[in-house]
Amino acid sequence: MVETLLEMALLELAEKLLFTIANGVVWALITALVALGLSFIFGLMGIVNVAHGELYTLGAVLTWYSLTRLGSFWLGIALAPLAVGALGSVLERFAIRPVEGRPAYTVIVTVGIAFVIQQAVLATFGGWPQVMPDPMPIVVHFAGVRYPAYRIFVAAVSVLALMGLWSFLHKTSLGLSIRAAMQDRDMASAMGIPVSSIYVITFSLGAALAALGGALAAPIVQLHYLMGLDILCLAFIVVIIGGLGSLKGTFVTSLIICPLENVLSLFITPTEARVVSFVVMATVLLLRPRGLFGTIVR
Amino acid sequence: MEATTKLTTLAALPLMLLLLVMGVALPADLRSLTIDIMIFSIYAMAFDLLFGISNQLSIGQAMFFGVGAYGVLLPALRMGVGLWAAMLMALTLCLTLALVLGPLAVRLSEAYFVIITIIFGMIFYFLAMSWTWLTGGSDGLTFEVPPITLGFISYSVYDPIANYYFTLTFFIIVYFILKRIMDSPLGMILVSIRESEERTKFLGYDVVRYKLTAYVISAIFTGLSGALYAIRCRYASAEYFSIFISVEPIIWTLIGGAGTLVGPIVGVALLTPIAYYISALWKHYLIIVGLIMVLIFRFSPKGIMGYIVSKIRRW
Amino acid sequence: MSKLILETIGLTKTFGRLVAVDNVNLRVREGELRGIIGPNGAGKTTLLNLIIGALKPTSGKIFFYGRDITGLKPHVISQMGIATTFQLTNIFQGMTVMENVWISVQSRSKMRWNPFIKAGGLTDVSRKVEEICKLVGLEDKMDEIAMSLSYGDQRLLEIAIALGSDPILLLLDEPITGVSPKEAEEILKVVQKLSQAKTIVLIEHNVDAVLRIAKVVTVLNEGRVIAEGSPYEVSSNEEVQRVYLGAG
Repeated sequence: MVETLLEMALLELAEKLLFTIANGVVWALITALVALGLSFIFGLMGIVNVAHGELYTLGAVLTWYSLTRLGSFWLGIALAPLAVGALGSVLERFAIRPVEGRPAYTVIVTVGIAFVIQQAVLATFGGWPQVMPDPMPIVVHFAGVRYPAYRIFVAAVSVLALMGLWSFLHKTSLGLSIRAAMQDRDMASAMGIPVSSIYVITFSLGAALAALGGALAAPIVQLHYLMGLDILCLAFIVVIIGGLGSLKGTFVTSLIICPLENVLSLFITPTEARVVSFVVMATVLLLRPRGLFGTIVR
Repeated sequence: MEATTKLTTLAALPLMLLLLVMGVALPADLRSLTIDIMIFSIYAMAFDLLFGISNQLSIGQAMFFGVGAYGVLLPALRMGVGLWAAMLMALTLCLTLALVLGPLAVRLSEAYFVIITIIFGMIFYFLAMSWTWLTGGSDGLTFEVPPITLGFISYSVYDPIANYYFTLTFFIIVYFILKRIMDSPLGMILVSIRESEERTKFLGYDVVRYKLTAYVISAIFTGLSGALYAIRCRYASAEYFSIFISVEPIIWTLIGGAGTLVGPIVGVALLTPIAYYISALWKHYLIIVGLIMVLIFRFSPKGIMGYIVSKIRRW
Repeated sequence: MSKLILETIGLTKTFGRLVAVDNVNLRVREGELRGIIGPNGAGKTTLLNLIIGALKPTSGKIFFYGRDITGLKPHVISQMGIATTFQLTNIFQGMTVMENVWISVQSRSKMRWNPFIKAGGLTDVSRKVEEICKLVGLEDKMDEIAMSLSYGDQRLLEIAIALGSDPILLLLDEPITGVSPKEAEEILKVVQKLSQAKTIVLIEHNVDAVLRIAKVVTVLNEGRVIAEGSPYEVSSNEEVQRVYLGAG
């Protein structure tokens, strides 16, 4: 009798743990979408995009508008990345390009962009958090674990997007040009690769990825005009641990840090779990300043 | 650099006299605005040493501002410590924090430094928001400010005039200390690090130590401004740690002119009243702040003081 | 024979598969004006970067007056008395000529941490700055902003900055590459003048100039030393001729 009780308790704990880890992996994939854009933009252009969190916010908020005004959540997931990607190309061309090559200036410009977006969202969306209904209210039973179908959908879409990004970078000539420009910008320019259009495309792609992350996350998080700050902080931690500019590093690190934070959150507050990630980051920086997978010493 | 030095010495004395007179001459609301301007100026000057002089762009200085504020508030509130002791504790706390986090940050490149300071700032903000038992969260904590004791005399900061001169004293002290540092070999070396870090290293300077020195000094004065602000408001909240507080000195410094010490004061004196009046009329005035940050480099990369200095040089 | 000042033993640096510096044994004696030449990509600048601590060698050792300095930090090596100029002009662009040299001279002053003195108020430092500017011929341009100088003058300022730290060993990385012939002559004159008081290692692309003023010349090719000796010996060496003819 005692044994079965213990077994049941253990089983419950195991189930809870599994559920938490699964959530962590889903969250890691969303984080990877956001952080990859950040890492990508830095790797190519040397720009620390502080407005990246706000592009994520925009993705989420636009999806919310699509649901409440147009009546379709799915349309939002499709359109939000496109709209934010277009916005990204405008931002790169008209706001960031004029100060290119001056790291401090570009950071300040992106902080300005972040403020404008934040306040614009506050003015239209309002200051109160909103929660979205689950667009796929089905629960999947898998190996004795019950899991919401929407989160599986999020994982699938994220994996598809990441694979798409990978094949874009490795199999298309445009992707090849981007990687060449990341390696050596002057050389790429000398070889006739139009570096300035590549910059627009990269920034726009990074913005679209962030927005896709936001759109996918919209039904599983609280929508708030400052929601970008939290993901920006997490994405920065991930990118530093993985190595700025290293796409592989960013991806692998997300898959480690996010489930770790989720599991820790069973015992301590999420903020304290974030502090643990921060300590991991600090340790990595001390022992290996270029990050786990970084090649560039920064 | 020469032109700036002459200009500031020329302008400093009359300005100090003016500030002395203003304490009694101004009506209450303007006096209180001037107190804010002086407190924020200390913050802005501390930021200028870090960003304008040694080109270390930190977007996490709110961390020191908040720690300075709570560093005064908590000992006074929970332990009944006197004002001077509480302020000393606040500054010691900032010094310790800078000595722990600084070495991690200052050896990094420009881009990494920005990122890690953003993370510092956010972690402290999230912690301050979630540890409501300590900070009171976004509602904050109010406290009774202990009197300012000077030997046998003591003043209460609840007397606005006493508070004015209390703040003014610190404003003047900080100005002269930072001016002195900027004119000293240390200041010159920091400028040379800004101009070419590599070259300075190969001249035999331990660049990391100098950058850390700038970081620590800046942290202490930022903490002081936070402490003075908590004293002036008799209140502190987790919002003191927010990214807005970290971004404000960037705007002040850019508008006024980075690396000039006086410029950031000009920036504060210009923007603080505007922020007061516009934010009362239109609550999204931060959009304007954002637009300024996006556009300033195109119109005035050197700020107001930078413009004046370049005019004087041409004479 | 005079004392050995700089010695490298089996110095090697690889970048991935590329061997930039390959088992280099260099021995420079006090008072020498050593020239190091070699075609593009011969490893000259990498060798210099190893000596000043900008790069860490893959293997091998570097000795300065018999003391192992391999892997020390750049600022420590600089404080021991090795100064360098850079191939890509590396001066404090926004500061005046005087301030540029001042920073360098100050690096050897004990007063550099004292915040209560004025930077301009140190008379012995100012005197030294003036002396150095005179030595390289920039005394009339001391108040000019560095970036407004002509390219040749920027190269001279580069040398002045290196001199400010009062080095025992002065390394010059391509000081005359890219300047006009007239300016090059001026710079070479300064180098010759300096060589009376200091040990100098002159790395140059311009072979004729080095053969004219150096006493001992080392020739690098593909990271290896292929010849060493007097300018006459080196220029009559067959392998050297082949390398230079081959390289055009």
